[in-house]
Amino acid sequence: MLKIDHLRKNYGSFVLDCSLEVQPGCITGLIGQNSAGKTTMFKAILGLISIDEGTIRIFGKDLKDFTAKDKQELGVVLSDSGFSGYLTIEDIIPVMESLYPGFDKNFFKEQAKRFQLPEKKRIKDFSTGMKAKLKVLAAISNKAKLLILDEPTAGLDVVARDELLEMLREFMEQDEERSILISSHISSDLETLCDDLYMIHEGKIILHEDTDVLLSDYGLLKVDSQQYAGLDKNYILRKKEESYGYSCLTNQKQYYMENYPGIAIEKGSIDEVITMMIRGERL
Amino acid sequence: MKGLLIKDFRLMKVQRNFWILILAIGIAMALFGNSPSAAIGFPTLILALFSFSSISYDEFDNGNAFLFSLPVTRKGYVVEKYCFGLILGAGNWAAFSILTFLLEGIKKTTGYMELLMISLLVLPLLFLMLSIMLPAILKFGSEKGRIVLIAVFVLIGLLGAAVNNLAKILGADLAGAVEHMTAAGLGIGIAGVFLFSILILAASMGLSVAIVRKKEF
Repeated sequence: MLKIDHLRKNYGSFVLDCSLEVQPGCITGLIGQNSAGKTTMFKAILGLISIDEGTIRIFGKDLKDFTAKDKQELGVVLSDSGFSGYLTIEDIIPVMESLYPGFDKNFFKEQAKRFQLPEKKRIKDFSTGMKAKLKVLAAISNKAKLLILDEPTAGLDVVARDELLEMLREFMEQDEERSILISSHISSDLETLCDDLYMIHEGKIILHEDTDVLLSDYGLLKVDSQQYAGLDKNYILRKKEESYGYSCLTNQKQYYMENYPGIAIEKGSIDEVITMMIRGERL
Repeated sequence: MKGLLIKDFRLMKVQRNFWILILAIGIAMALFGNSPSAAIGFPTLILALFSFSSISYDEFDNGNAFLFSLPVTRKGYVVEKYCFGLILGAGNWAAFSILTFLLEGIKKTTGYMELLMISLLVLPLLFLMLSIMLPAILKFGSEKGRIVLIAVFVLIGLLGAAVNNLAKILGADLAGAVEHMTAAGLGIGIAGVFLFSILILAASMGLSVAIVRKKEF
C-alpha cells in the first residue's frame, strides 16, 4: 500500500531519516513524542514538502508520478490543517462530491447526524471534538483504499477518542484490503487499534514491531546489581539505572521468566517500551 | 477544478454584504452616473478581487496543507484561481456592459460605438490586474502581496506620467492622436491591447504555477 524507503529531509539541525511500510489490510501506527518527525513524515507522504533523498511509493506508484486521480484513493487527516473554518458541512458536501467520485453523501450525512455535527454552522465555531470527528468522517466517506491520519485524536477526551477509533474500526471492517497509517502520541489509542507499530524519535525509526508481539514478548526486568551481573544480556535491548539497580527492556520476556524465576518481570506497555527505547542505554 | 470553484463560490458567502454593496453601487453608477467606464470597470475589477481574498481564506489556519492533500494538483489550483477571477470579472463585465448598453437607449449620452470601445477596454484591465496580483499574492502571501501590488501600481503610474511628460517635451499629442484615429484603427488598437493582455495573463499563469510548485506546506 505504502512504502517509504530511506526518506531523508533536512531541516537545519533536525533530520528525518526513515523507512516504513504499510501492508494491505493493516493498520500501522506511528508513535513518538511531539516534534519527533511524525508530521514531517506525513507531509512528505502527501507531497506537501520536498524530500532530499529516498523514495515514497503509494499503491506501487512513485509519489512523483502520483496524480489527482490517484489521490482520490486516499483519505487524509492532518493535525494542524483542515477545511476552511469559514465553510459549513453543507458547503463541504458538494466540494467532496466533485473531488471524490466515491464520496458517499448519504453515509456522510448519516454519520454527521450520528455525531451531532451541525450542517449549517461554520467549522471554525465547532468544538475541538467536533472538528476532529468531521476530519475523520470526511476522510472515511470517499471509500479510500488508504487512510493517512496524523494525530486524529489529538486534544480529545476519552469518550470522543473512543468514538473516533470506533469509526476507524468500522471503516476497516467494510473492506479487508483497506489500510491505515495513523500517528499519535497517545499510546493507548494505537495499542488497541494497530497491527504493527513504528516508534519514531528525533527523526529516526527506533523500533518496528507487531503490536501483538510487542505486548506479549516485550517486558521490563527489574533487577538489583547482583542479579544484573548474572543476567544473560543477549536479549536486553536497553538498560536504565534505577534506585534499586537496573531496569532492562527485553523482547524475550518468556526466556527470562523461564530461566530467571527470581527476578521481577513486568509486562511491557507501549509507553514503557518507548521510554526505555528513548532514555535507556544501548548495550 | 470544479470542487475548488464550488469551495470558492461558497466562501464568497462570508463577504456577501460587501458584494451586494458593490453590485448596488455599480447599478447606481450605471443608472445615475455619466461615466460608463466607471459603471462597467468598478464592479468588474472589484468583484474579481475575491479571487485574491480566496487565497487568504485558503491560507488561513494552515488550510493549504489540507487543501493540497485533496485530489488537487498545484497547477490545477493555480488555473482555478485564474478561472475564478475571470468568471467573477468577466461575468460582471458582461452584466454591466449589457446594463449600460440598455440604459444608453434611454440616456443617449455616450453613443453605442464609444460604449463598445470602453466596454472592450475594461477586459484587458481585468486581465492585467489578475496577471499582476495573483503571482504577487501566491508568492508573498496576502499581506505582503498587497504591498507589492501597491508598489507595482505606483510604478505603473510613474511610468505613465513619465511617458506623458516625455510626449509633452517632444511636442507629441497622444490624446489627440487617439481622438483622430479611425474606427478601424481604434479597433485594431483595442484588439492589440486585448491580445497583449491575454499573453501577459498566460505568462502570469505560468509564473504562478512555478511559484506554487516550489511551495512547501
